[in-house]
Amino acid sequence: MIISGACSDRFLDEEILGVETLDSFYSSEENATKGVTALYARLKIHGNRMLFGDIMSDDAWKGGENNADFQSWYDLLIFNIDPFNGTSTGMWIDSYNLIYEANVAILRIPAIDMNDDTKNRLVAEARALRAFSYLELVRLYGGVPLITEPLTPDKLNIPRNSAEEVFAFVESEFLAVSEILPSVYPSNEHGRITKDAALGLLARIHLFQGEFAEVEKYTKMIIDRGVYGFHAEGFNGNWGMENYMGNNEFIFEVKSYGFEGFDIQTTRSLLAVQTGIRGSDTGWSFDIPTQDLYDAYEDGDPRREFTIGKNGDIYDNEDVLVIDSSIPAYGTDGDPYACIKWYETKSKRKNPKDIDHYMSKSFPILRYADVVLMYAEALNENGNSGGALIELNKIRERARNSVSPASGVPANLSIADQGGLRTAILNERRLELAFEWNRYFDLLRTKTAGTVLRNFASKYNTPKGAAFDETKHYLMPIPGIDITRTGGVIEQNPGY
Amino acid sequence: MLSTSVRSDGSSKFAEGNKWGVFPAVSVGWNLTNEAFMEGVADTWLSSLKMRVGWGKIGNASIPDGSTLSTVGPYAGFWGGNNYSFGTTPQLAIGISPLSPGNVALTWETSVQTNFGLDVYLFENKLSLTADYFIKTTTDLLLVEPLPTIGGYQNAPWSNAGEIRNRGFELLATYKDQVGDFGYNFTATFATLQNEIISIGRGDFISSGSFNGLDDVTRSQVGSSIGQFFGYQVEGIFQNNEEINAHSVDGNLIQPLAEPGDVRFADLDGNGVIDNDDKTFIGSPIPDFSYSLNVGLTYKKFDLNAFFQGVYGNEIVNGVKVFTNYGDGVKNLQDGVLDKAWNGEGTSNTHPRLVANDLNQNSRVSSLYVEDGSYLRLQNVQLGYNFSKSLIKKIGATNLRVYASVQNLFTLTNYTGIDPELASYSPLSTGIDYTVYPKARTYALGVNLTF
Repeated sequence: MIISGACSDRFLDEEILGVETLDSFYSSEENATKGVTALYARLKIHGNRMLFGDIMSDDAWKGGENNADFQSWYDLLIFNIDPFNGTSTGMWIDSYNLIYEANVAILRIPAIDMNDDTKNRLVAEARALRAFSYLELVRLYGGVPLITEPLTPDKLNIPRNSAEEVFAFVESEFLAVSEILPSVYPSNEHGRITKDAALGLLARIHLFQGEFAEVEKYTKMIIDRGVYGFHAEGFNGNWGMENYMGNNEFIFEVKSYGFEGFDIQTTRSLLAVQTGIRGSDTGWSFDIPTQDLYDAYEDGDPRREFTIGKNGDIYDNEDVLVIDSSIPAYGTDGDPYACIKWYETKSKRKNPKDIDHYMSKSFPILRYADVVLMYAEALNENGNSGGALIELNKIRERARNSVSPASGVPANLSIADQGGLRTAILNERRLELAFEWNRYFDLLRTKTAGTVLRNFASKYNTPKGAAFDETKHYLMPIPGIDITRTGGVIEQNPGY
Repeated sequence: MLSTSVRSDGSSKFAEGNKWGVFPAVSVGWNLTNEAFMEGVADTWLSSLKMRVGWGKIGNASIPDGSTLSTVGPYAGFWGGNNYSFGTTPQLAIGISPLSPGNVALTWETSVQTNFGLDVYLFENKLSLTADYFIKTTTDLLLVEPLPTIGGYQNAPWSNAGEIRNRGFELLATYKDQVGDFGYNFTATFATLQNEIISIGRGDFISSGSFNGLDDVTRSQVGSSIGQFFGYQVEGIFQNNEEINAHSVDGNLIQPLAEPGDVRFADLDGNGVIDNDDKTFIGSPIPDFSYSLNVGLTYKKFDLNAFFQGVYGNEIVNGVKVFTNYGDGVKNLQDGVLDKAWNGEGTSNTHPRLVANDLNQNSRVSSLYVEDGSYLRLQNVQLGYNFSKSLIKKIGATNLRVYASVQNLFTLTNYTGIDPELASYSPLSTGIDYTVYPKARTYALGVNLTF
């Protein structure tokens, strides 16, 4: 018989090197800031947002190498949608990643010994970004599980909350943080979410629900506060190479910037390269403007040349755009155009040696023109068509004056009836805010998606949009993997 | 005879309260040939006969360090990672995210094994046979369980989440003898394995094995064996438009995006759509049996040793095909694919057409990827020569042997991929060829010199 013994209990407490734990991390202001920075970084995930906002609508073709490039996008835009679609699943996963990380920050930052103002502001920023995630989720999926604290793996069999509950949460969160967030940040903190951004997103969530009294109230608040306005250099000033320097039109923006020598994977957004021109340039030719959008602008509307590029156009007095219609994206699978709001002049690109070059321009999630248009729409729906017309014409006037000498187009409108104004405002949103991830949601909330998309499909003889089915396609399917993994506690949307 | 042992193991990988496990074992043996009633039989053809019964418990803690901890760190995603830029003159801002929530309840995975054995020695110990039948039940299986994505974790944590049972036979036979200058010894092994999942995760099954382009290649389901391949059933290739039209339910095409030359998938639930509910079990990585043979021959000063090893009845998912057999994207295709692929009515019923726009998703996980993985490999063969002592004494050495050997001399298999012998990364996903580096054939010449 042999007996052998072991060592003391302490021997088995190994310090694990190279791994930082949550407990030790949320202990300083510096780390709290890093935790919240990671939330902003998730705004750079543009792919799904571009797909849902632009490509599902009549504004943009998918593009890419061919129809099977990003096949899950193709399935979505022809409305062949099943619960295992990689993109509708990915959007859900990305949103809940942000929500979990925000919940962790919101839970743990208050206990840190740090400056109170900074602490409260960081928590408010995390709450705002969390509310933004829920805004994106509820517009696409309807009611979703409302999770407001970090959960352990054994607690994840949670049913969906109703859409009303999620809308109410988003509203109350944006309202609450709007009381805490500053109006303006010091210039080295530019890009963080401001009070007006929270108010604007609050207006946006009310807009989606058709609650126009609230839309009018909050957009008027932003306009009256006067922190933001139209860009000093006109419509096209918004898309300049150095728009990250801050301008008074971008109320909430995604800052993507290329830092020399820094690992490309961790800092950049792919938006510019993905919408970039294929063939003559290093772009992937996605998000191709449709002929329908091109024709929606009146000839001479300055906004068109700053939104849609075509073969032979000259950008920034330097780059000649070469769009080769023998490439499927510009020919058989689309139209010979490229979205150029995100285009970067070749000589000014950061790290031009990289094929997947950084986008070093800011992308607006919300800008002043959108606020004015929301205000116009709300005034109109609330019975004040005269006031609505005035606001609408401000947008058109600004567009005319974006070139020198000023263009005569688009001229002021003189529509007086609510129905006519409604159509005009919806159309103006399309022209002004093209490729800013709004169009599909405008079609959904005005319940015109079916008519518009099916008309598009038949007019242009394409499967894109043809199968839009009002009985189910106002909502995306809940990802099948979560329905399976919760054992059916999460229920599917009707029709899927 | 009886032997028992108890061991208590502690691991720093687990948290306080879960660090220790107790692992006893006991075995009883009965040497029948020592018994009185066997007298007379022993020392003739039967040298020894022993029966054994054993029972034991062992623990497994092979998980990465820090699995109990709730970790943070940066990550790099395809669409962009953690860092950001603030400021009207952009400044780099570092971002850090929670990565895994950890699991403080993690503890030892334990296996309880019962085995019945028989050891037989025959013909003055020239031939020996050992046979075992074992039943091994593993509880608190350590695995990374796929969780509902509403949890929001970058990485799912490890958990003790399953119970599986393995049963099988193991046979070992050795034969050795010396006839004049000839010596030979053979050792053969043979083993079977039956695996059954008793519980796994929080539900009925766990999917695993996803990689570039192919999702959830395996499904480990309660009542079935672990890591079975799961995908669409292929009925053939559409040869013409009539066949595409015939594949319909109530007048609606089951595969509306298909063209002639595309794969026809089985609509197993008959609902007129090819979707997740039409996936089924399409193969298993577990072999019917595995075997080996070691041959040792000596003749005077020469020695020859050969080691054969093989498995039979297992299947492999040739995941490399997703890169080498389909026409979408810019890829290197395997030699001969152009001839194998469908290129007109009647040219193939097994390989779809090469097409850039694979709207029918011919390359999805299906029975097209599942191949017979049986193989027999001559792992090692070595021929040596021992120089006589008198010769080498002159150089002051006591032993000199020269040899030539070949590793991986040949492999017999029907598998069309590079190597049927695959490493596995997890019990949930074995037998999947993610692309392996080809196994080299190594020729060696060597000298053993002892002073």
